[in-house]
Amino acid sequence: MARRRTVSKAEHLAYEVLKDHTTGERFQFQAYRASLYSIFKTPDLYRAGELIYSFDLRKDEYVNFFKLMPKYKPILEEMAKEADKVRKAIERYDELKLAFVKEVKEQVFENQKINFESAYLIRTDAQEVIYQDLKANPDKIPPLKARLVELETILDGMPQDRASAPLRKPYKEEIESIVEKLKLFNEA
Amino acid sequence: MSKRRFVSQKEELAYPVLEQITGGVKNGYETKSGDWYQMYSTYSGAFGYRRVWARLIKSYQLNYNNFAKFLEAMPEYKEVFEEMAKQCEIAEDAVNTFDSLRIKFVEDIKKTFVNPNANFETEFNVFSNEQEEMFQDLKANPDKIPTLKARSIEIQEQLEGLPKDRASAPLRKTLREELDIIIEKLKLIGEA
Repeated sequence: MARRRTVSKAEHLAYEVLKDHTTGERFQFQAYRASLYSIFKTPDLYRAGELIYSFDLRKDEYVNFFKLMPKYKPILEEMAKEADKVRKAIERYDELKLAFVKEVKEQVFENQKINFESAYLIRTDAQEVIYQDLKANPDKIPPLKARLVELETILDGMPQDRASAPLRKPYKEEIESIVEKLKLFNEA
Repeated sequence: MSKRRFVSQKEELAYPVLEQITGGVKNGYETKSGDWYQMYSTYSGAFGYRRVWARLIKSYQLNYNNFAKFLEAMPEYKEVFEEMAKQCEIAEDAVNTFDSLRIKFVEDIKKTFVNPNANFETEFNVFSNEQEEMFQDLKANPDKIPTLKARSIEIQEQLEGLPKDRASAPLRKTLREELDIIIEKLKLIGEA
């Protein structure tokens, strides 16, 4: 079986939230800004108009229209006002979303460039403590590896009969504990 | 040459305005409601498979499922999500108001059209002021139309019965002129 990457609980929960607000795991959780131009499009791409803003009302076609039909000026001005609200709110939303996604990737993700579609295991609380300790003190890894080799050599040198099983047991347990630690870093 | 429809000067000026805010001339100036998901969608494949890149966030959703679990583990992001949900709400409300104003405007302006159900892609002539006056008069008094039609038939019959000689030319001329005026009037409302 292929070796699975491990992620923190926080990263796993971030995936679940980000998948609905970004391009998802397949496309590296990229966040995009809205295309306001598409707000009145239908899925078959028929476009049923666009938002009009205050500056649109200064265009010739609107000026000429208002000259002959001034009674429609207030309603179009009100529409432009609402459209401005839409634009501002969506721009703000996009800004917050982009900043949030960037921050989560930087703060919570361990590696932003991996294949997020690959299967993973979520670290338990105990594993997380070990992981954070080894991450903060990477110099602890080589001694662990060395101890692993040492223990394996000791075990190889021991008799394999039932009588010496109790003697082998503590060595095996230590090996398992070290392997588990190293696996968190893909070092075993 | 095919018969051209007539439109008022106001209608002609309304077309470019409607072109921008509705589905345009091709789609009979129809409107449709705003769609949040369209702004964050891409399409691919022969069947136009749609992929949405951002779901609308409602405030209450922050207390359920993935959001709740995430915010419990990372409460420092609660504020930003609350702000995002607020902005979504503002945008959604504004889009709904924009839509309802637009529907009202489009319905209202279409009522002033010579023919609200016309094929707007067809070519048209714009009423002169005089024609506009005649049109408004006939629109306000539709009972005048059958009278005009009857008079038109009567004149045509009279013209057919008249000798084609030079002596009756002045009478024919008068009748033809009257017939032309009636036909012009009837054309304005698509009755000739």
